[in-house]
Amino acid sequence: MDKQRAEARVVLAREPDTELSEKISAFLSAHGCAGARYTIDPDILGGIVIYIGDKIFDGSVRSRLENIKQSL
Amino acid sequence: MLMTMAESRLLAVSLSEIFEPSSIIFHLIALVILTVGLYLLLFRPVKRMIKQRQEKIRKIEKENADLNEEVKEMKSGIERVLTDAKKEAAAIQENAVKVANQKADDIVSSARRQAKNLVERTEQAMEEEYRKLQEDIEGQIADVSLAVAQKVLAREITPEDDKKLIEDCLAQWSKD
Repeated sequence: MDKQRAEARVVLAREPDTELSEKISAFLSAHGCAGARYTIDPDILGGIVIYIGDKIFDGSVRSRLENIKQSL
Repeated sequence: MLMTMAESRLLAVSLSEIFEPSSIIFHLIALVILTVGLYLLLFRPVKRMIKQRQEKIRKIEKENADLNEEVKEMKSGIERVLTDAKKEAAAIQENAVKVANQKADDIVSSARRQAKNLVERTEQAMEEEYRKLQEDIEGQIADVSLAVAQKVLAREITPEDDKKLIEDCLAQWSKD
C-alpha cells in the first residue's frame, strides 16, 4: 500500500477538542497519512492508540497498566 | 633184731632178684621204650598242640592289633571328619550370618534411600505447590490491583489530564 494514501485509525477514550485534533492530524501528516478514522473506546481509560498500516503507536493508559501488571 | 632166719633169707632172695643185671637192663629198656613212647605219643602232640595254640594266639593277637590299628584309624578318620564338619558348619553359619547381615543392611539402606527420595519428592512437590500458589496469589493481586487502578483512573483522569497525556505521547513519538 502506498504510504501517502494510507488511512490511520485513531482510538481515544473521549472526543478530542479542536486543538488536540489538529495536533493528531499534524502527527498523522508527518507519518504520510491521507486521513484518519476516529474511534471512541472508554476501555482504554485514557491516552491514544494510532494504527498506521502495520505500525501501532500505543499510548493508552490501559496498555501502561498492562505493562505494570506484566512487570509485577 | 627180732627178724627170723626165714625172713632174712627171703629178703636176701628178693634183693638179689631186684639187683639182678638182666632185670636192671630190662627195666632200663622198658624205661627207654616208655620214654620214647611218651615222647612220641604224648609230648610231641602236646608240644605241637601248644605250638599251634601259640600260633593261633599270635595270629589272634596280630588280628587284634590290626583291628585296634584299624579302629584307631577309623576313630581318627571320624574325628577328622567330625572336625571338618564342625569347621564347615561354623563356616556355613558365619557365612549365613554375614549374608543375613548384608541383606539387613541392604534392606535398611534401601528403606532409608526410599524414605529420603520420598521426603525429597514431597519437599519438591510442596515447593512447587508453594511457588504455584505464590504465583497465583501474585497474579490475583496484580489483577485486583489493575482492576482497582482501572476504576480509579477511569474516575480520576480528567479531560485535561487525558489531553496532556496524548500530547506527551505525540511529542515523544515525533521525537523517535
